[in-house]
Amino acid sequence: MPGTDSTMARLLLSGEALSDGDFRRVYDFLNLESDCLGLGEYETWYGLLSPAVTYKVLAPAFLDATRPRRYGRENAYFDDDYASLGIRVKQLTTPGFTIAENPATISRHFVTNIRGVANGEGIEVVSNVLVVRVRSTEPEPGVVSARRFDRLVETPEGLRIESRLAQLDQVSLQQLNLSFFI
Amino acid sequence: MNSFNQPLRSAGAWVDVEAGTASRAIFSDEEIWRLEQEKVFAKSWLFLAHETEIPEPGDHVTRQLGNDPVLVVRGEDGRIRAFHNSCVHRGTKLCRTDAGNSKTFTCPYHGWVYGLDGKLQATVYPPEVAAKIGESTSSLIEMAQVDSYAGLIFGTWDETAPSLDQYLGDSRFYIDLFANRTQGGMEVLGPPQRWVFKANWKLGALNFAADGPHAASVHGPITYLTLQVPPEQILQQLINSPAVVIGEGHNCIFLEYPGEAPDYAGFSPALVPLYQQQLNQAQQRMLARGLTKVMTNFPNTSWVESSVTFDDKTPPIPFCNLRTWQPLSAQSTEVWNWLLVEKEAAEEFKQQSYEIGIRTFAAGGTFDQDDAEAWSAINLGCRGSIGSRYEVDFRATKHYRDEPIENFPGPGVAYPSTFSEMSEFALLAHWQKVMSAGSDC
Repeated sequence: MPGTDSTMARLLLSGEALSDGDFRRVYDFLNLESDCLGLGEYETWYGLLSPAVTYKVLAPAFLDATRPRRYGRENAYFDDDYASLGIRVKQLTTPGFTIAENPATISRHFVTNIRGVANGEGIEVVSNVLVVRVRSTEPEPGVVSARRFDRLVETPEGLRIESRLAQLDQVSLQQLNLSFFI
Repeated sequence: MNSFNQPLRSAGAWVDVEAGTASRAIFSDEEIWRLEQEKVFAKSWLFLAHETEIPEPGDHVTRQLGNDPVLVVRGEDGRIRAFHNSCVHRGTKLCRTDAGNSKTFTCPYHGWVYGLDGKLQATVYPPEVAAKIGESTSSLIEMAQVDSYAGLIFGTWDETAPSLDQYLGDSRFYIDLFANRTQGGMEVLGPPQRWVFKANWKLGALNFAADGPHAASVHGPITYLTLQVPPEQILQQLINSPAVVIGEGHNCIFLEYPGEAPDYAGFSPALVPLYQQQLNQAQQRMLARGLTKVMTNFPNTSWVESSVTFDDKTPPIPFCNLRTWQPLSAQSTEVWNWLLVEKEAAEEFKQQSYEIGIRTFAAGGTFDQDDAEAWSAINLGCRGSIGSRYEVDFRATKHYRDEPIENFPGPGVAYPSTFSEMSEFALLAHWQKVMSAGSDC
């Protein structure tokens, strides 16, 4: 799993810069993925994952700058693998299996600030994502933003996500649920 | 004609225990919500934190009780105290971090300094002014009573409230099944998740008290995908498993494993001997046969435990979820959501239990996401000027109320089906009693 801003900064400084062509491929891949998520094409999105995928979404915390104290494990909203994501996709794509997403949320994923670097394990990508969602039960638009650290790997079918770490920006999520992917 | 044909304002008139109904206004009315803050939340014992969140002197966490910030601190003497997290000078929120360790707390506005015992230690004033403002005698607003049971820290603002042991009463038998089942006890797996849904806090508390029928209609498919029990069998287990009215507003349901399942089917074999050492015979029997257990301690502390798998190659792993429903307004609730695990468990098991927990009952949980949607829909159906005149229906209780189970192994009165809605409605009946206390109604 790619790490945090500090490890990403090291990679960006030390790794092999992406060619214009590779950057374009990463850019197109992330836009394709955001279209899948925004349009609810979850089975297509699932096909963009490596079977070895690790998928984690973390909550932030407000800590004292001089004496931060953390306890327990990370505070994760998602800590999933290919099998568990498959069950989530099955739930979200089967109308009789979901109350939360039937009728489906109207949402858009906006991905910006994309940077990437190649290393021996694939392409490490950092980006920001803003998800805007409107629900039948909460008509006022809800917003979730996060910083994402991805590892994309080359496969015969094209790029695939091998790991994602999304760091959310809200300590108390102003959403009734996370029945969607970041 | 509906019996509630006008918005009901007078205390004691919202829940009709005999009829098995309650006014929809209790889920949306701001006046009722304000009255609850005085009658319920200012007088009850409220869950604050787990002792493993603040193991060392100086450790502290900040919490919200409704809209009041609270600071929970372990002192140099090891004693746990809880304070209204505000400076007594101008009311500024004192500690603005989620967790930390410190010897003092300094107000960000004028620099007033407090010790871990809440006493004011210093201000910026010269001695003659400091004397006038009582620098040597002032202290933070402290919760009237703070106590722990099984590592669970509760506090109350009411100095006349009964002891925590008295308050929890017979529910301790059931709390033990969640959180006091090994000698070492439980530990939190991390800080609490927090999220906000737009509906009344009681909807969450009632759902966990618990609402048996929704488990089939809302969670049936995901249960089939993750519990490895066919939906028709889940339905039968829901119909045939008990709902327990423990008393004093505490209520639970126990969904039992189908008969052919071995004892402790969903638990780690390594921990079973520890359960057998710690629990009495009746508790052991209930834990061994439990597929899912759900409970609410009045008013807003809830529990759920089940064993789940997200991989057909892996046997089910149990998770233990503890949460509070913080009433931000009549139509807005913040969930604080912890996962617990036995201290004695192996690290691999702890990680598995953690992963299962956040995949099921959490903001992104496959179970929670559908519940929150239903509660938001209830809010929309109950908050209008017309909708709030009418009632919600618990008349299923009329069928079951005279048929308690005889010889049920646990304390309280058990009814033969989670579909009875008996335990869920009992929370509302107790809520009405508390809300009516001291009034003429």
